[in-house]
Amino acid sequence: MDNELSALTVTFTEFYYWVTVVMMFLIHVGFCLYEVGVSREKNKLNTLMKNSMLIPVITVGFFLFGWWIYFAFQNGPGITGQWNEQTGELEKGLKIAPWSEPWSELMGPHLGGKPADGRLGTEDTAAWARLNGVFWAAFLLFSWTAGSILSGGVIERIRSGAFWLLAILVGTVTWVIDAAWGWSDSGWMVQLLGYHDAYASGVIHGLAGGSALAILIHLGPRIGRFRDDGTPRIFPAHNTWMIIIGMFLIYTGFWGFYAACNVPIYDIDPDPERTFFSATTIYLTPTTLSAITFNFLMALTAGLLTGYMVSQGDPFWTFQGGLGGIITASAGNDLYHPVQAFFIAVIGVWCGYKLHYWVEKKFKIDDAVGAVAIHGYCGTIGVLAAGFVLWGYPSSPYPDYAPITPWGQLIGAVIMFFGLGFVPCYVAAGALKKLGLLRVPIEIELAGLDYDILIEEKSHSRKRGE
Amino acid sequence: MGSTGPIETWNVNPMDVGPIYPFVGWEVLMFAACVLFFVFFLVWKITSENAKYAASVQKLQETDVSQALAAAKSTGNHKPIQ
Repeated sequence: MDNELSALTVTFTEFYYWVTVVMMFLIHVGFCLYEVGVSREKNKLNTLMKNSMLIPVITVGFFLFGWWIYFAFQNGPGITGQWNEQTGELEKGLKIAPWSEPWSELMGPHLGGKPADGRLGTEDTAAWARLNGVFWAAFLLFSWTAGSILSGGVIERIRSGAFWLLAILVGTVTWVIDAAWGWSDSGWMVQLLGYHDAYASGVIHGLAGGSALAILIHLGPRIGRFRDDGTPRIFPAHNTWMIIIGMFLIYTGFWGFYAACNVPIYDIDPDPERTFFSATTIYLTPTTLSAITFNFLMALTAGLLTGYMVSQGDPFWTFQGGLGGIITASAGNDLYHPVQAFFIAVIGVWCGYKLHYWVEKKFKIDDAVGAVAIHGYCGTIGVLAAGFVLWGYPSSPYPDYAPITPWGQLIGAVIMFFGLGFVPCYVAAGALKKLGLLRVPIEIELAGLDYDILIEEKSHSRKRGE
Repeated sequence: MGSTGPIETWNVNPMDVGPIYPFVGWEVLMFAACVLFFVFFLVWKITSENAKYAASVQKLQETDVSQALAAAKSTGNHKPIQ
């Protein structure tokens, strides 16, 4: 901050992420509206509180350990440890990242000068004093999104306490580990597999979709969702407008998410004698805001068209299709041509829709909002598609990293959906079920999850003589 | 007069200024307090939710919802997937 250019670069970057965080807040507003709209009248307040309260619960967890996990767990394969070809040894242990520890002075207001903590250098404080909070918040908003994706599928029968524990697991541990591995410039999956997922098809959506599927298996369908012959009943949404406005807000917030996934200004010229500033992805590979704007809109468009077509004009699946289109194309939207993004989105939404109904019919999975389809299946298809369309592209500016390949993406997709998505939540939801903490009692489900609130209201009304 | 933090004047070289919040050096204790509150909240939520549902179920069993319940049970649709 000792000359105007560096001060402008730092404060521009700080402001840039700050704006993206505000925009991304709309994703959560959208998810709340959408879920409450989908729920039945008797469950709407519980649905609202279940989703809203994941904000504070995940935020505290992300402050206490999530942010540190992102930096500390980048070695691998596995949680720690990485084969170093140059030394021929396995590098072990967690990475040292003192700025991300919850007791670090850089997790509070800091001018970036002399550190009080001897483990920090002046380079640490200069780099992180103005960026730590906004980076933290950008990742935190992704964590809320991961939690919200789970929330929609399980409405109207899960206990809020159990849901929040699962949201903490996904929002502050599992998705953060997958981001450390596959969504950082030095994660082991990027180094060894060439994993590429610029706008988080797999790291957020694939993982959260896999997690939701695991919980749904233990949770079971809502009472009456399937007839005796196994055919599903439709539970009409209590407010269609809330759903539609919610979806538009999610789209809007998604713009902020795309911007937040970029580094806004970075010298991409490998020659130290020259400089060439560009926006980059989180892998520090070049892209432009212009490119991702093209692709975001073409993928959204393709998703809306395909959703409308495949569902024969059903508004719910048309809007969900728009979201699924963006999610499918996101893995490679830093590099795709807009028409490529368009057709990848078409394939993703078509497959996601068909898979949703196939799984519902075959396994009696009651995914109330199609979360597994739109996030899990579309996200996973998106990761796989990037492996073919971007085959041979460098995954990183560092020349010793593996290039992007279909098999690298396939392994990555399996790790995201199953390894870090499905498996941990299957175990955790199973444990909660065994303890009798997963699902609300059957009497409450029939009466409605807002039963106690409605009873209290009635009793107050009687007292007031109304 | 002293202050609760490392800042007693802004008339200094900013390059010498690091953290500016009060009680620098107490971060681990503040962290521990936050962990305790977080755990307390989650335990309180689980236990109060159990108690709330138990009370509501008792109330409901005294009403005609039991008829609806019996009907739902007879279909077997309420059972989670095994």
